Amino acid sequence: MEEKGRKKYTTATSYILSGMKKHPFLTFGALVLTVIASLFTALPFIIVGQAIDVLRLEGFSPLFVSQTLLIVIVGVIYLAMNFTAGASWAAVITGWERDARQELFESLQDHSMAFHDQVDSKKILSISMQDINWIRISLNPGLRMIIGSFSAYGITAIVLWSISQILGIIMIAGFPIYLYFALRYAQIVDPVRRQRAISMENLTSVSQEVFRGIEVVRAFGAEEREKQKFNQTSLNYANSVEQEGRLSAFFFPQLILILITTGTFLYGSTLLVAGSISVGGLIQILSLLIAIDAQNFMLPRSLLLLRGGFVNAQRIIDLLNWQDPLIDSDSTDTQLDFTGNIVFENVSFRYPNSNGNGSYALSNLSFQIPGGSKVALIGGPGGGKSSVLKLLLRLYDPTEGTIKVGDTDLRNVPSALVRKTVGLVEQDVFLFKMSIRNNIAYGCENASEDAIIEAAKRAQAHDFIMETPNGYDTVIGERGMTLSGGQRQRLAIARALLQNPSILLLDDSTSAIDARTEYLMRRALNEAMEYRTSITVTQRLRTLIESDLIMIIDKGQLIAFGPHEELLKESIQYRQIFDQLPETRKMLETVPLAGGVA
Amino acid sequence: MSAGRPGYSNKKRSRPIGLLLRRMGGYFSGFRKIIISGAILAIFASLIDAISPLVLSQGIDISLGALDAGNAIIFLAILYLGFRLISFISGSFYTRVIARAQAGFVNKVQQDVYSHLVDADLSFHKGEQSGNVTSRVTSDTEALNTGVQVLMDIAGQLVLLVVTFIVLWMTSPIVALTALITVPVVIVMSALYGTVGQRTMLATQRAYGMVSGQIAENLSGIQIAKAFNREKETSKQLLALNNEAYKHNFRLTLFFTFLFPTVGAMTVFIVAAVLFVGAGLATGAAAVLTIGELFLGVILVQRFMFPLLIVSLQGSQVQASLAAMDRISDVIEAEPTLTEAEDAVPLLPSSDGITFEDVTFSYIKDTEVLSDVSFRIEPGTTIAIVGATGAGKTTVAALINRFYDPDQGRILIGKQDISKVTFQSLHGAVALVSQEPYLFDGTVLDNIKYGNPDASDDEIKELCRVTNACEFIETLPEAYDSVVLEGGKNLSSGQRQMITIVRTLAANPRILILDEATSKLDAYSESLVQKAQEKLFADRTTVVIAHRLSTIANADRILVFDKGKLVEQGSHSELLEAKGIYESLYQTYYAHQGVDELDEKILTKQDLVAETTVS
Repeated sequence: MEEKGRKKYTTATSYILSGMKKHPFLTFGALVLTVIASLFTALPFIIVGQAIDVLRLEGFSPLFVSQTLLIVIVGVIYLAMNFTAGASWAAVITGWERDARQELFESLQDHSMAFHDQVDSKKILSISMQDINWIRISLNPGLRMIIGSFSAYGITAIVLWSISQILGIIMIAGFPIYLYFALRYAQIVDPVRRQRAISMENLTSVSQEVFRGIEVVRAFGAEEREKQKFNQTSLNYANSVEQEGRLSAFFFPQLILILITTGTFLYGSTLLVAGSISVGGLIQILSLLIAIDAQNFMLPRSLLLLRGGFVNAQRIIDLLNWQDPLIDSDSTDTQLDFTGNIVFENVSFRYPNSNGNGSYALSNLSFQIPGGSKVALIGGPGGGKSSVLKLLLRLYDPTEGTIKVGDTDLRNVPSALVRKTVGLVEQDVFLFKMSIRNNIAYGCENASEDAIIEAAKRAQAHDFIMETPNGYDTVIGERGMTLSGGQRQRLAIARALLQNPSILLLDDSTSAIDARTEYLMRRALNEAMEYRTSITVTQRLRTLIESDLIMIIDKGQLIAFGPHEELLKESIQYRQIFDQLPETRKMLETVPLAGGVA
Repeated sequence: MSAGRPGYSNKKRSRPIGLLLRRMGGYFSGFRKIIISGAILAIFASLIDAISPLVLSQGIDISLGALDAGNAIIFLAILYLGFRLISFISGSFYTRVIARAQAGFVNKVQQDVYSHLVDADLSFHKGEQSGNVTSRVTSDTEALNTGVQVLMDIAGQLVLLVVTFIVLWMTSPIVALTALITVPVVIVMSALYGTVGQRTMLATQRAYGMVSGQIAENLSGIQIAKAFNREKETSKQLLALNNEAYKHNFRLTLFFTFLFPTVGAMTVFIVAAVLFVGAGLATGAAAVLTIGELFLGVILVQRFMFPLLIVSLQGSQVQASLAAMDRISDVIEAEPTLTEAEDAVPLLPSSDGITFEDVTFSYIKDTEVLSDVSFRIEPGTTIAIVGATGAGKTTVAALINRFYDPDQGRILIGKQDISKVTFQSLHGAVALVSQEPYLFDGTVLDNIKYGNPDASDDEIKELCRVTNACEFIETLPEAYDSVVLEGGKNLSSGQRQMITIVRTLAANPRILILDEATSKLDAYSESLVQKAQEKLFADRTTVVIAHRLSTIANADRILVFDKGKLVEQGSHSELLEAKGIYESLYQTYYAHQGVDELDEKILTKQDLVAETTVS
């Protein structure tokens, strides 16, 4: 699929800069404008110094007045420059944010289910919202302010150099020392700030899960235990807040700037006394330094932001570069026959997990389902039923062995094609917050109105749909618009019918429904199973009896496989299911177990 | 939803500012000394900051005038250095000290709010999304914290402003007055911020919320999207929202790009104005201003614009934090209607069996869910509760657990009224497995141990073996140590239900209540669970709410509920013979669990009893 076209990022820097590379001219313009804007920040102070010299020499002369006016004009240009620079930055970086979010989502969506099973969706959500947001902030205003600060410092150094080389040298020598300390500071503060963010996340997850499960907490009388647990988490958070305050309080790089300002003041004054500079010169020097002082107050914060941006970028790259065990095929073989037999050959399957190994969900499964047959799949929870369905949808590939449909190994069929020809009605039906029509047409967007209604009718859903406030336009999940389990399931059947798959997988484990719903459901299921191979996970005894084949899977192994009558004779496990109800016991009595009880 | 409680939506504050501030102050009571010393440090730092340029201006004047300038300048340089160092040190100490107060403050608020929330009525939690409740503990306390920080900052900035103005005034009243031109400009700017800025900000937040909601929904439906090849469409949907968010965010950035440089430009204009006015005063025969003082004016006047702007912009921050305090107050002031009696005694170990005496209950006023229900469950017996949807079955279970108190009547365990026993002992004796299996973050083992933290791992494993839960647990990637993700998305609903059942059995309760506890299990696993339960809890009082015929038929006695009333009771065969409501229920709900084919004829007969699922 598109997977191959997607570029991989190797370093955080290349990821962060990718947005800027996309608009090289705009980015270059933004950079140049930012530097020029700093020049116009410094210019008023230079003019003030000159004006004061003029004032001392000529008094309130026309030259002085024109210099005052010049300051105003510089102010206007400053505004224009800054605004243009800011707008260019905004265009580049805000656009990057949008593209990065879109790209991240699309590529995570293409990752196979192995990824989504392992990674908490809350984490993905917070990375795609917060982390990308932080990178944006680290670039704009973060990087922009760093560039602004540096160029202001540079301009000041040049001006001071032009007045006195020694002052210039003080500035130039001070810079690396200042930068070194600023980076050191950022390095110290950064981890505690991160620690603080992590303890906040803990606090959120600890309280959220308790509020969600408050009934369970009550039922077990665990309130005090939960409060203690929370208090500990809250205390950890408080500690990290305090630690951050303690470590970030002493912004020692500031001392360097204080020393530079004082030194310059002292040296400048002696120059003034000696008459080698004018009073205007001294005023220029001092006001520029004070301005830098104010501006550089923000520098460590910007450095922190930028540093943080790299960490966030690394988190994103790790998600993007995740190694998918499912390698999609790009074969365009048209000889595929999904109406053929489904064959499992020594299939073993282990859910991919973070530490590499775990136990098998399916082990050494071999069976053959003739095309067009109705198969009922039963077995205990976690026995492997849903794993079989997931493998047939190619949400995963088997760890060992092969699955063939009509003699073709599923590994050689593009997953998109598999999912087009294999339909699914899942156990906990997932419906989207959109109209009933769009939910039914989820699998084929271009379906005609008639086709949608036809599918709904066959799934026995049309009648209740017409009773909803807006019929097919009713939006599911909006105010009070909830559907019962049976209704949801019939919508899912309609959805699958419209898709018209060659193989239909049904996970039908609902219970607790009344006879009418049950009746409708059976009719819907019968419609759905017509003219195709179907595999149904079920608990309905009636469905078992009506199936062509019954498969019992437990502990990942095939326990029994065959038609109803045969299993009734041969399988103790199968008989046990019918042993639950008084009426069905009669049925067991008429069919004795072959070969005696083991 | 929850009666009498103000809603949590974007409503206005309902309490006076004074009260909210006092309440905030209350949380600071333990840190008064820290706060005062912090405030002193902050004011001191601002004060020093405001007067240190004075040294520079003196230096300029001395360099220009005095003959023996050298020593004076060295003295002034040292003075300046001293001032800056003092300001640096006291500023740093302020940050450090205040962080400690803030940490303690937030911790106190959080614990207080959390403890109120955990004890709040269940009806409160039912009426609120868990995310909303969580934000009381997290984002609201954070907003309070920010508010406190902002208040301190504002105080510091105001001191800086006032002292700067005084210094300016002493230098030259006219220059000081010139500096006041900033005030109307700042007012215009903060008005812009309050209207256009806030509106844009809100629109941006909303647009981001849509993006985030869409991603969340797409992620939870990812398997379906894949199963139906819908990846392209979901991407397209997201792109539309993403573009919308981009548009708003770009506007917002532009707004700030306009705001700050404009203020910067205004500062430049005011420097020009002060230079112009000051020059008039510093020249001519009657010069009242020295060059140093003119320089001072130019430096100080720049100190006006940004602090003033920051103070006015942060007003909204303070507003937000007062609103947070208001929401927190809602939580703290809400008296739980359900509290432990002051003279509550522990439930005696000998108390067993359940009695309902004329119990009437309603979740919402005037809509009775149970009316006048009386029954007695003998110790050690198993009873089944049956009835159509909405008959009040789950409510009976909730009342036995005292999640709610009945409006009338009382509930006894043994001879003790449950409203007069301690929660701890009640919940220790009674255990409930509810319809929706809920698991906590943690390992499978942690979850099972939830009901009985003291159980050993071996005991738990033995229990899992007896209930047959071990079979699926052992096939999980890390068996008992497998981590439950997001409430159990990595488990099937049957597996989740198995864990909740074992969790409850592990708690070893005297009275067991199973509310559709096995609805998500297949018939075979259910029978195994039942066998285990019979073995382990053979002679314990058990209440089963069930849909499966096999469970009901095996109970000692069946209570039949209809529209909140107890209408019939007896054994399965007795009730069938009586040909009353149970018999119709049996035909509607249970008979078809067998193997008979359904047809239209049976159905029309049963439509009289069957509750339609469409409401």
